[in-house]
Amino acid sequence: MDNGTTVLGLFRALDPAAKALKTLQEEERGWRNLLVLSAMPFPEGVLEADKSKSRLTVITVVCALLGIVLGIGLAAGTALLYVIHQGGKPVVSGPPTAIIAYECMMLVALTGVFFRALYEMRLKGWQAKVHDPRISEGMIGIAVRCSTESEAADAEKIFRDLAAADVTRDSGSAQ
Amino acid sequence: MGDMTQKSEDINKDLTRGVLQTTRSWWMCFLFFGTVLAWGTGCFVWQLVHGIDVYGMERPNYWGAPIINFVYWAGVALSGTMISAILRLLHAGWRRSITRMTETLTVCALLVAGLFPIIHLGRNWVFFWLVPYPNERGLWPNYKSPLLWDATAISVYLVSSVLFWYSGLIPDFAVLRDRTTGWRHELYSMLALKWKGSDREWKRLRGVSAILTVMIIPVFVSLHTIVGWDFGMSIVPGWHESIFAPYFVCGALYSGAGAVLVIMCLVRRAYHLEKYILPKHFDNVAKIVMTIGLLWFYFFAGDAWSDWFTEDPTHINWLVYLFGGYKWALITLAFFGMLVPLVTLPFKRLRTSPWAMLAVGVSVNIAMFTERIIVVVPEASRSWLAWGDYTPTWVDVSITIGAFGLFGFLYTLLSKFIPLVSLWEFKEGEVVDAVVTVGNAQVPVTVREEAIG
Repeated sequence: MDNGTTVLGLFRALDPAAKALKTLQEEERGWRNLLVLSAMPFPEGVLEADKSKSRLTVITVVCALLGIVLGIGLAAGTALLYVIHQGGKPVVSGPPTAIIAYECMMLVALTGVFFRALYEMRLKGWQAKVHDPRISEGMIGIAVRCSTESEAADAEKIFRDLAAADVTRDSGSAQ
Repeated sequence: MGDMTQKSEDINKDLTRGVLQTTRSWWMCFLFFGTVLAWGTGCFVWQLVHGIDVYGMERPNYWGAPIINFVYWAGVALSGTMISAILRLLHAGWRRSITRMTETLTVCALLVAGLFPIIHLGRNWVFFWLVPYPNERGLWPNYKSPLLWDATAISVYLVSSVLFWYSGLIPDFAVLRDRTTGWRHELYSMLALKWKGSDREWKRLRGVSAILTVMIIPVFVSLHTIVGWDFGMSIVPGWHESIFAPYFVCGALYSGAGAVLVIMCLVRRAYHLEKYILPKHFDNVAKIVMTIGLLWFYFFAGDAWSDWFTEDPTHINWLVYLFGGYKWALITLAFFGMLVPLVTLPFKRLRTSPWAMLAVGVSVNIAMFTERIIVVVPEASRSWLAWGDYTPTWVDVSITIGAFGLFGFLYTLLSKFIPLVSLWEFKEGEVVDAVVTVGNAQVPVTVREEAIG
């Protein structure tokens, strides 16, 4: 697949871009071979090709639990490592441990979910040049990965028939 | 949906102008704040050389200007992210023009706030002893001290706010990457993290943004709760108050919301964003300021009046001192924090006037700075048997002015690298908001954003 051709259609308006995407999806090209590129997010379902699963919520919970362990380790563990006796009070105090555990839970959960999101954002397998600076200026890009020349020609025709402002091809050797 | 390209180009052009063009007024601001910051830094060096005695603190009052500044700036930092996060959660469409500038406000104010506990240390150069790391002495920080909870909470809030701010900036960095050349292109390419604008990236951004939004709200509440506990967990009369945690959160929101009004007005004027920051934005934020102001007054009065009425000897001292020696502070607080907002904010004509709202924002912040003085100084000056006094010296005043210089310097500098109105959020608003005709009325409609796809 990496040796195939990627065809990128650039549209000035949302409706023809959505039609082009729908046509390509009806041709039963797998969602992994389609990419929508835009300078802004659209409401769900408006222009959507990606069907990958996200694990952001699971990662948040896992990181939160790790954070609690870290916080307990910091507040209670260090108190045990260097014992300071204070007027008969317990060496490991509950309220401070709870506070530090809470703060660490938030810290690890927030940083964990952030880095997980960056990881999930990667466009794995897309070797071709799918970014065009005109997308930043408001054009909508529909990229389709084609394994044969006839598929690429077909995709190009769909884009041109729907009045794409420009259609480009890339073989995917470099990005 | 017509041609979006022209509209998108216009938004890019308007909102990146401040980043891509350097005006003389920007240089003047930069130099002005830089000079003030240099003066403040010089005073800090003076403190390093001569010791902490350069401040006007006198036994038993050890918490003077540095802690007043710390509490004040931590409060200012609270509202930026709060306004952004709560408005996102409520799907308030009007937030799009102001979220970025308020989040930037939070990051800058928090950097200023975080410096003051370090400035306040007797031996500033060993501030890293607060960090728990295995050292050769086998010592660990004592987590039973609320001051260490504070250091932890500030660090967590700073990291959270930076992540919250940065995650929203990634798509805008990509736009700047595509509009710049040379070293700026390299810089923005690095900051944009190879962002292409694919639907997968947007979906993940929306997901992480929703999670960060939900989680950052308890983080900022916990930060000011813990700042309140710095005082409340002591046994100093006037500080040992169970109401301090919510009272501090509320006070922080009040000063922060006032600071948001100031920033909105100044950014709108400086970057000619009249098309993006509309009178309705001032109107809405002003209503938030008024609501929080009334709540804050309720807390303040509830605490003070119960002490006054009962004449409890462990509490009355600070109040007597306040009505006596610190009468000027109470009058300033009442005038700027209650009178000015309450006679201004009920009127829509004033709420929609940017300059009137600038005045209200400044007034609220004068009041809240004074309120920090009231919280920190009188109580600590009348502690059990030892009675001291606190008269600010030129170093106290200079370090306070230097803090404003640092904030202004950071904000001016950042405004040169980031668009102060979020490009993608504003464009998204253009897509999801519309007006339809129902009968004889024009009714605004909005496509509801889904948080996590």
